Amino acid sequence: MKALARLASFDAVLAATALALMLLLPLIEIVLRPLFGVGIANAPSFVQHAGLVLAMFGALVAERGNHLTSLGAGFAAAHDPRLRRWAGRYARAGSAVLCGMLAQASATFVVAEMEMPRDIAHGIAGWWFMLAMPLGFLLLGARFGWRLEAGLPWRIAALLALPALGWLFAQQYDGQMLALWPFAVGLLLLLLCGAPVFTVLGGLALALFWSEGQPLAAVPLSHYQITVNPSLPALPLFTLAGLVFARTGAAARLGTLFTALFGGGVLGTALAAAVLCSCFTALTGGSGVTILALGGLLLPLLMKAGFPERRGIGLVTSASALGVLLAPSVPLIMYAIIARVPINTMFLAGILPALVMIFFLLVVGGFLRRGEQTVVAPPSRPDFAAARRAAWAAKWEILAPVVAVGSLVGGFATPTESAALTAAYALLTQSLLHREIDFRGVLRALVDCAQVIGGIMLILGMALGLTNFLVDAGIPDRAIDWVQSVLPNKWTFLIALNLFLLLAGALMEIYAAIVVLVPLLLPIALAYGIDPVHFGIIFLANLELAYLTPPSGMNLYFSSAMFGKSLREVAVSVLPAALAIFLGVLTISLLPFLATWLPSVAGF
Amino acid sequence: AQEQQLRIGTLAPKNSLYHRQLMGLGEAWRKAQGGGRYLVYPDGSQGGETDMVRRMRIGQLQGALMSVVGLREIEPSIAALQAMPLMFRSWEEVDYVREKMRPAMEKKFLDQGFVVLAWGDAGWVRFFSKKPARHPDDYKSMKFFAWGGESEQQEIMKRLGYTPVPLETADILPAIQTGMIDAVPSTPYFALATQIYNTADNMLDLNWAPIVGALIVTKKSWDAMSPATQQAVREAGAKAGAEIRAQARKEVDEAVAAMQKRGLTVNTPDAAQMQAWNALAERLYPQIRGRLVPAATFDEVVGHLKDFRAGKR
Ligand code: NA
Ligand code: NA
Repeated sequence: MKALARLASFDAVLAATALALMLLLPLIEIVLRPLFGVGIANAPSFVQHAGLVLAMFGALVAERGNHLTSLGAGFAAAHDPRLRRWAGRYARAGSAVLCGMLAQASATFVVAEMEMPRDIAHGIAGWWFMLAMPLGFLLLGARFGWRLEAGLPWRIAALLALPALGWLFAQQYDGQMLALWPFAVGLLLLLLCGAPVFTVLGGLALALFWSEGQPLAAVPLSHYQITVNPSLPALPLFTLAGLVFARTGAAARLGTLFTALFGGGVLGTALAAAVLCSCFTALTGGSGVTILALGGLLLPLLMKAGFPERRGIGLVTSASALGVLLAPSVPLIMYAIIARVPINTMFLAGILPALVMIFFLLVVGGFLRRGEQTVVAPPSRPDFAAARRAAWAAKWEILAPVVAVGSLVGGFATPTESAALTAAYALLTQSLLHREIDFRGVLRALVDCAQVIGGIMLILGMALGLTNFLVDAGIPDRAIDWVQSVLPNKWTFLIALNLFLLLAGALMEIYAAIVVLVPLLLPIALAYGIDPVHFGIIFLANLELAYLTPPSGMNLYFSSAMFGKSLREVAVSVLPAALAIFLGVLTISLLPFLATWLPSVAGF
Repeated sequence: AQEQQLRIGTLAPKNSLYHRQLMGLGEAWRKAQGGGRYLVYPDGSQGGETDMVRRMRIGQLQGALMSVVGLREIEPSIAALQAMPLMFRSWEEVDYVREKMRPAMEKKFLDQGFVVLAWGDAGWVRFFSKKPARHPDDYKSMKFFAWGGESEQQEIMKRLGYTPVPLETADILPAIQTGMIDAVPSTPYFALATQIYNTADNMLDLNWAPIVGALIVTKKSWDAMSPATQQAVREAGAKAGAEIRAQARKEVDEAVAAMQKRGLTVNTPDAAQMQAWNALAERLYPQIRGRLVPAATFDEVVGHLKDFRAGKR
């Protein structure tokens, strides 16, 4: 009933429909291509544009559920009720105005496109889809206004006036030069008051273009460019697959299998937890879903094996960050897109470093140590008969990575099609064979996926606007010259790179970091003769750490919510793990063959 | 008041001849008007060619050096110079026809709000495949890369008995590595730069079609220049165009030689196979005329070529 009530809202309907199309069209293509040589006219283009609708309306759903990423509540969670109230008001009002500005800039972009319409196919022009941008930003602005903590008349006025104010301001001053510092101060305050990351990033991008007198429409254009990127549809589809597995008995089946394989002792349980969390994170896109899906299952198992609660939480929280290097994780695909490296090369490159990271977490992180633990139950030994039974029960889940990676490496599906195949596989095995998800559950998975991806896509789009400003101002070139004058060789650069990424990972949102920092740092790395695949692995390994470093570490928030502990307690519990992971990152940095050997063996 | 700005985008690599020519043009622009901010964005750092057209429309870029892929977003009839396979037999023919059509074409671009400063080339499209092939029928068992944005071209290929696989440019390398496609039409320079030739290590020595490009700037930025500046920029553009065209002619052979050193096999069709290719082209033309290329422009090209070949003999 609750799912239906949620579906009654048009934003969810639009976003879920777009996602369903993104799932079905590539599947039809896979079937049609070998049969008739040609699929649907321009199906990839349709799928990519559906991604734009998914992003904008998915973000609206996320806003409604209060799921838009922010860097913590900041002043909006202060002790003083007045400070709290005003911080909340400022965050929402500021976001509403910024959304109005983004809507106006988007409208400028759409109008420029309408003057020279470009058909996607069958007489459908691209700008029909682009309208989702000004419309989506306006609605987001109105929602922020409506959420203002005030009386009803105030809220109605805010809903209309705040986005309109932003719109008129942008219209008035577009193309003129405005000083950067008032925006910078206002935006920093917004961030501290708990405003969504995307509005702050988008506002910063607009302010920077303003400071140079460049057109504001460059920001929505960049947002459009990344959302309709040919490889991008793989993101929502792999995420959908992960979400489906996360809400059926898949996690429990895999848990049974892994504990049977490794035994119930300290070693076995820790190994099972680390491997299972990594694989699950790879499947679910590393957005903290792993902790929610597996935390409740693994923590009791770990405690039964003799882990104190704090170390158990530390292991689950940190291991859930480790899947980033394993196919088909969302950051791995993102890096391939941004760095223009083939996706399957990255998939192979990540395997050995992922194992190295698990090794460092368990051995260096001290999770195999016995010591003071009081064993609650005698540890069971690996039981291969039970493992066989468990493997049979979990056969469909075990085969999922084979479908995902096999269809890609086997050469009959593009990255998008492979993702669609995996999502369809997840839906069909879990609904028809396991009967653990019904039609309503499928709809809910679609809406939830749209919400997760919508939030991520807005951050990505705004971050790309920021990156485009850096390119526009010629900053990457200057950065190369400066870094090369300061750091004499590859090794000093690698050490400095890791320290920089450690800091950036603590402060930045993960996806924004990929979009903004990769175009900036990759050319520098190339200038030092570092392989782009190796650089990608270093970057992603650092991101694994970023999931654990406050204030932006997503896993800390999920873990604190899941286990009912304070943020501080969780942060302390992952400290040994974070140190071990940092040593793993350094190892991967200094041993390039870990990343490049497998792709070279495969002939890529 | 704001400083004068000229921002030019291109897919050409940084420090390539194309990039250096653009930098030279910027020097001429800056000298003529005594200052100003000139920026070139190489390596597609401002996006693909369609994105660059969009960035020009919103006023973020003032110009771009690009191929017909981007140019036809502005003026579709430009496709005549690139989308007619085996129509041109040599660079002399391309030059002759382009020179004949140039005034009218530049007028069309001006009507769309763009000024053409230079015409350039980027080499001939040839076929790269995993297995050796010389006859048109040899390619019928292969899966061909086809650009996802061009449904009509795929339609035509299908009707002639070929198997196009619609993909994006970014998918070419993984697709050929995994066996999703077996053949790619590409210029030798692009095949060398993207490593396509490592997997598709057979090249057919047949000039399928030229890749033609131009340097354009927005009319708005052009009108903001003084007549003296316009004059200087025009001259610099003409010089850059000549250098780029000369380079493109050398680049095809140089790239092929470089790839041959690293294991590329070059297959040359014999007289009978050549005849089959020409017969295929003859069957293609009626389908291209009026669909991929406006009928009037198509006939114009054919007419110019007839004149050129009559005069040459
Ligand atoms: Na792709
Ligand atoms: Na972080």
